[in-house]
Amino acid sequence: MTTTKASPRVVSKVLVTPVGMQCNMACEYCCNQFCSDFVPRPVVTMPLGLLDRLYEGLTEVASPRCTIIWHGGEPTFAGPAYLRSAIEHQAILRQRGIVVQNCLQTNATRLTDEWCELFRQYGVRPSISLDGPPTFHDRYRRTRSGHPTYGRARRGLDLLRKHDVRHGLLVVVTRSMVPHADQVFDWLQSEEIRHVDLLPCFEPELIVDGRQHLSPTPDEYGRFMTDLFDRWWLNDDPGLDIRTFRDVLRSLVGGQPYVCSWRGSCSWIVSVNERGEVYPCARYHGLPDTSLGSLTTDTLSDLIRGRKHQELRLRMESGQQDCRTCRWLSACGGGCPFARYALRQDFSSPYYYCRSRQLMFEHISRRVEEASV
Amino acid sequence: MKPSPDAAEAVATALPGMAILADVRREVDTTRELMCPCDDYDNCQYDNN
Repeated sequence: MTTTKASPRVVSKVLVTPVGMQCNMACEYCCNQFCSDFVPRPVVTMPLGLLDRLYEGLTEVASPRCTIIWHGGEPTFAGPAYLRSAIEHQAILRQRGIVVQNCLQTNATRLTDEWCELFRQYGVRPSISLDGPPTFHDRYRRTRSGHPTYGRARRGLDLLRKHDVRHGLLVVVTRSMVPHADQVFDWLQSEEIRHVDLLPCFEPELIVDGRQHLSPTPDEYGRFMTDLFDRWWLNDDPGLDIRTFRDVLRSLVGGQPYVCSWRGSCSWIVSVNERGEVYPCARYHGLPDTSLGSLTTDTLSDLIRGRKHQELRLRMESGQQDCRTCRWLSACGGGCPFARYALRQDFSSPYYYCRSRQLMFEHISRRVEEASV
Repeated sequence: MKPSPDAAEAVATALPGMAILADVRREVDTTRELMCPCDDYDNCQYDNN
């Protein structure tokens, strides 16, 4: 492994897919269907020995506050006992003064009291994939046999509330949802959701050919988000945290966004699959061109400081040439590098949802000016 | 006729988004250091700063 000079402790977000892309659902829009790694098979769980190698590497490259996100597929297939052990093995990080926040992205259909007690005990923050009211959720989020899943996901949400576990929601915005921002906002309010983000459905292979049928167009997503923003703004309750809106507002008032896709580079993130293969993000899993290597043969520190990671970082950053004259670049970051890459396996492809962001920035900055008079 | 200062303040606080905007500004002011991935905001040479 050829390495460049030592870099600072830059990794502050780590994604781990302990069972790879294995999932009990077959959502029609699932991004993992575009990943060559997505092959239903018996569940293989990442060995704890590999996790220990990851943690050892993090002692050298992680920032003092680090988030570990258990992702998938559906990470609950690893089982609560596995996650308990995985968190207890993080003692090596705590001993080095690294504070770890564990998060878990789940479809919530497999949550039990045991899972929720574990979340409470270890301060794990789950994020639930739930696409708003059943009309929207059940349209695309179904089991392999075609059964709707809103009821099961909703029961998972109720369990989290029963155990007083702080949680968030991720909503995928599909084309059919675009005219219904009011309905979605009413649902968020009636369900007393406190933390949520709404991300556009993204079908890169179909978008390239103009055949996408579930993804909103950039104008449609922009319109949905600005409609939703106006309801949120008028309601004016800071207790309802809509992450994209808060990130845009943060940027407009001189702060920095939290979400990686608004920060222009994945270089502070690593993602590790159940076989120990390391990528810049879970969305690249299975794409060999973006693989940094494997924890079975190299240390994480070597992979982060290695030439491949540096080259990838440069490729990501040079892909934003078309953004240089954009007035929103410093706030937007040029879009998610993966979204650029996914269209033609080339980071210099335009960011598909660029126009959506322009619409949001223009609309929200106007609202901020009105409120600041 | 000009509104009294109290009345003007009441109108201003009733504008949409005021509570949200104040909350975001407060958060940006109090957590600026936490935004930095390497946790050393003032001295950091990381690109995203």
